[in-house]
Amino acid sequence: MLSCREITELASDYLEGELPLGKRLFIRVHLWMCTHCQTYLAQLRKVIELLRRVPKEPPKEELLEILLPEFRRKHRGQA
Amino acid sequence: MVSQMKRSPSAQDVPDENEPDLLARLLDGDEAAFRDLVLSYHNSLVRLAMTFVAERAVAEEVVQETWLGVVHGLRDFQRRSSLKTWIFRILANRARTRGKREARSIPFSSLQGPGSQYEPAVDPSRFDARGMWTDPPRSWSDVGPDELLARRETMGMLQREIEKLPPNQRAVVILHDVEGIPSAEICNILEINETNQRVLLHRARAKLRRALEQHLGNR
Ligand SMILES: [Zn+2]
Repeated sequence: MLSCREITELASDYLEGELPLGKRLFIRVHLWMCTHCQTYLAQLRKVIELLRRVPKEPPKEELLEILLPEFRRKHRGQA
Repeated sequence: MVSQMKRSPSAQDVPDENEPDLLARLLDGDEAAFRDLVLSYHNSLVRLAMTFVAERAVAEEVVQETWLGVVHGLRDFQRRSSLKTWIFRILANRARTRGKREARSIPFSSLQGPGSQYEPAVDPSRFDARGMWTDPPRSWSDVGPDELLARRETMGMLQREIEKLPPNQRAVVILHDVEGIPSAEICNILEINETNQRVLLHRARAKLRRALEQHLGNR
């Protein structure tokens, strides 16, 4: 029987589907009975979901002013 | 209880499904496609570079060199990996070299230094002697609807917390969870093995969860 503490250490691998079948089943049984660990897993999933939505700063305009002409030149040179 | 999370579509994402098409457009000299590519990956490239070098200005230089490398190397891209992985790998190689050269560089190693020692995912005092919760986590769905959780302030906090992670954990979480790059390709980009990758990801996520829990003040 896995403890809650062990569940928190395995949670990330579990979500990645990286655990062997036996361990996965033990976790599933534990989760079935333990709402606290269900909550823990839901929180971890939420963190992962938020990470996918981390806002991205655009690059400085100067960078594109350097890169785009280079891209153009390169393409023309080989077209 | 365990809610089904849908992948939120983002205009900034270049979906991998479209990659062959994207590559064709790039090879065709499509400037809009190139601009989109730069806009989608630039931020994560800078963040990844910052895990190898100490200064932001240096990181931005490395990213610029990377893009120039992409422009010039595109025709020789072998498609052994995805385009995305190829670009991140160019960046990692350049940043690693630069980091080694710099006196003030941050040592990046797979499982040595900060971020590598054992640290519990959850404060051990929250469990009893048998490892069962005595101070369990509280559901975040009580905090408010999803949108409230994703509000700007929370996202800002999350970004600051990412920056506080040890470089190796930060690199893995950016590539895996922010960029959605598969584990095997991350190992290739960072030159670490699968086990290390999993451990670093686990620790980074656990730490970010703790920070969010504290931020939401609901324990
Ligand atoms: Zn439990």
